[in-house]
Amino acid sequence: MSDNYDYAMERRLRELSPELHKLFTESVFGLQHILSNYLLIFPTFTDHTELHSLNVIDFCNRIIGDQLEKLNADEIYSLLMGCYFHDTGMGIREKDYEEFSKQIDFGDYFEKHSDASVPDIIRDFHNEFSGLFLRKYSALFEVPSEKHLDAIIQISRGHRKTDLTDEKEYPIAMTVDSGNTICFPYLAGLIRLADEIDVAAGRNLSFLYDTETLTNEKDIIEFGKHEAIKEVVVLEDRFVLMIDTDDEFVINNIRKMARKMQKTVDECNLAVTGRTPYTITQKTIEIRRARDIK
Amino acid sequence: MNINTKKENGILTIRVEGKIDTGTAPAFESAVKGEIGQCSKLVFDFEKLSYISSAGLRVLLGAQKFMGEGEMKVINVNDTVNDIFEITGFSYVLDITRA
Repeated sequence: MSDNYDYAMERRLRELSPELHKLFTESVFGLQHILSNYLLIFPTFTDHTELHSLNVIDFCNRIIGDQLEKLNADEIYSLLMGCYFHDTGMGIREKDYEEFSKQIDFGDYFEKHSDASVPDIIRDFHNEFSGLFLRKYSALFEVPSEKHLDAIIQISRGHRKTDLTDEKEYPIAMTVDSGNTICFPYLAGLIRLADEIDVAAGRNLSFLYDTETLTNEKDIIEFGKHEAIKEVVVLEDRFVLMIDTDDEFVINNIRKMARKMQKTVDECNLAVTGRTPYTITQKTIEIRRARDIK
Repeated sequence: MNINTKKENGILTIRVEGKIDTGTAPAFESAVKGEIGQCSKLVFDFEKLSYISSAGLRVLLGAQKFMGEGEMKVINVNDTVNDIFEITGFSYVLDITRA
């Protein structure tokens, strides 16, 4: 896909609503500090800072493609904010954890994970913590209305686990004060997909992450996959993972990850395509060796 | 894309010419990685940089994280690149001097 999609949402938002664009850009400064807090809890995890948010925005721009013309300013603002907020729950402070964990429905989680530590709980429910974080601190980011806040929270929460076909939680058209409507399942589906495909080597800048010192097996596997995936290419009909490795162990882990990604692609298609005015045109995940196309 | 680096009195200056896009961002990242650990201040001179994609912007922001606030400057930024910093909100984050 072409470079014409670079910064497409950001440009379009400024054109449609300089006021909402200003609120978005002013939020970035504070958010980049907040997002780095995840390192205090998860020092060996792959990147979840604003650098990851930038990738998520970039992938959203490419997945949306020419459908951007159909999105209104309120939708673009909510989506861009969601791209930044979706992982804020990974770095919440102890005091907020105590407060927020009383409000989350954990279901049978503790029956299945009786030895879950606080970091385990934060990781497994970080989308819920992100939503509660935004609800508590929304004034800092001057979110323009309660409806925008609801939209950003639902879109952020929706990047994991939630059922995007639930029309009560994810209405197809919620009207905001400007008269515009916000299509929750499409925007949440975009972040879910974009987040899922941010798995290439570029996610973890080599001068910020020293993978040689990792000792935890899960972290080693995770970074190993990322290092082997040189690029994720967004084509009109599919996502292509360009890999460069001969290590069968790593390749098998990438195949396993691709199967999980395919499920996400299917879920997002189910929630969006046919149910909303929008379409996710990408239907499959393909693994290709980078050297084959050189 | 061409990259030239100069180190003087602990100040590392990285001059970039051309475009930083998805294809050239890995080389930009390597150039930064090669030198960043041995300087007290970092200057990116973008006089001849015509465009920076999201992948390039990430490297720039990563360099700022590495250096800490106040220890990195981006100078001679043209209108096109400055507009990218403004639409993304990073004009509030980076220390930028326009051309």
